Amino acid sequence: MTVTTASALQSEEIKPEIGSRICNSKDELLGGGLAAELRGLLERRGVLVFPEVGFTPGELVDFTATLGDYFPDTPSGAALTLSYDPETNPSAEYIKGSFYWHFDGYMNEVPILASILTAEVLAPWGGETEFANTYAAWEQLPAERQAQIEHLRAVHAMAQAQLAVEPEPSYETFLQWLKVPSRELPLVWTHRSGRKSLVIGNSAAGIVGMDPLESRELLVWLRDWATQERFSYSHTWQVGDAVMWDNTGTLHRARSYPLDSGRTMLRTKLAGEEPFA
Amino acid sequence: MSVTEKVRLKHEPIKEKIGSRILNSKDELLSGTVAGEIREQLEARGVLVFPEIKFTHDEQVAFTKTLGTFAPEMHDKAGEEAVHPITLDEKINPTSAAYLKGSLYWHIDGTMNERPILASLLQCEKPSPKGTGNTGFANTYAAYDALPADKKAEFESYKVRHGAWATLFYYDPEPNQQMLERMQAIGDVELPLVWSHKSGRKSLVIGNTAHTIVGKDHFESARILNWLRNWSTQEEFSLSYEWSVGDLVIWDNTGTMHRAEWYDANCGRMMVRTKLEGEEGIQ
Repeated sequence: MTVTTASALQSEEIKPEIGSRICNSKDELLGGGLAAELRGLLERRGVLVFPEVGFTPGELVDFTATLGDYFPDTPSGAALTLSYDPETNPSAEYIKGSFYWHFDGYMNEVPILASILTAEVLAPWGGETEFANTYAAWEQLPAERQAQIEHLRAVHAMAQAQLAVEPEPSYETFLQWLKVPSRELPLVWTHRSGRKSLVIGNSAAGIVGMDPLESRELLVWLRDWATQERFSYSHTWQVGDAVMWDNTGTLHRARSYPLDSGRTMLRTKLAGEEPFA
Repeated sequence: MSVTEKVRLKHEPIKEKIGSRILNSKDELLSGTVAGEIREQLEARGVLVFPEIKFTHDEQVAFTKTLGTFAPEMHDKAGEEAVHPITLDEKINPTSAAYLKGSLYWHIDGTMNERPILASLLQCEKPSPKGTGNTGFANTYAAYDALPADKKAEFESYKVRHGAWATLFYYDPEPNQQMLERMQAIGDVELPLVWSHKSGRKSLVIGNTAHTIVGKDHFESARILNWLRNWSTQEEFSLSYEWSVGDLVIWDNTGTMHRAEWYDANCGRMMVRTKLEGEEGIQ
């Protein structure tokens, strides 16, 4: 007679409306037996933190692949190294856009489902990663606000995100940004699950058909609402932490830190599974 | 028989299309006899520099009054009109230091007012370290004049929306809702892109308060406004002024844009400002 011991998911809530800590061992996580439960929890909680789990780069990729369709960022299939040293990373200027609230992949038909980030080298100060739950933010909106915005659409563009970093670009730079096509997206995403989330962030340039002043006011109001204390979580990194977030139901941003500090993170992604709708 | 010799304005150009240095003595300037010529040069040159003129605060107020209608911003303890201190140091200037961050980007003052101020006079009490804290000026008369004819015709048909709130996003891309509301409450106006002055001259009305060209798609509007700013602030039409203690600079706010270049907010840089009331609306 064989005894199978299926390990159970061990988790605890970080805040009532966002984030859970996962306390299972690395081996249990890599075994894949918890993958379905982790996916369910990810959608409900927005952010999953694996404190000092200490994945090697290879293990990070393996773990990611247990959860869905691994979406490699590098030709070799290895996890992407994120470091903001302009000498080793020519797109460092673009990365400064990540200091403002955003989601990834507004220009894609199907945005990525999730990312996992691990900390290799910490900055001496700052460098927290912050998350805001845009499912919860939608669900807690007053009904009249929901009715007002539910069918609105917003234009998203790289130029908008970059203006936050460089407000007075040269004309050549501005034209480069405009080469990336802008994209019209629903302001409220009705997911296949039936749940709804807000689609906002630093790429949102304006609400279609709305006066520019009112449009800006609404986008600022929504971002302020969605990123308020109750819906958001600020992760202070320890070496070896892994943090996974649902890119379809959260916003995220990095807090500033000394760019020459050598802070180094590894990232993997899960391919998206449904288009904006 | 007494011989009266009329004092004339002594001036020399700084660059071909912007800026002149005024070389008269403090007494000559304060006497008001060259005021008419200063006003002419101000309009013609955009920026007038009075090197190390070292006006006292009272003298700066008095000199300002020789040139037009003094626009009061501050009063001293006796209720007299006074100069306005300009610093990013929040300990000295708690209310406006944050607001002044918008001044790091090209702008015209008072675009939302019915008559934007005619001119500002800024004197340097303590400069920032060399290489920081210059004031940049760009001649928007010269920038308009140098446009090709087809561009002039195109731009003359444009109306542009201006709001102080738009400047907020330059230095605080993620403002909170209350801050945005306060800034939006200041107003939002529609102005011609090309200002046809009473004199017959024309200048461009752009800068960080300009947020939308009426009737244009968001990014088409942003592209044109970007082009206009880059055109107007190119080397030929602009001047970056490095301050020495006691320098006074007047600029024609109706025919230039200006900006402060970056400096360390804690370096002690201190300027004092007076203003002249506007004399015509943007039309």
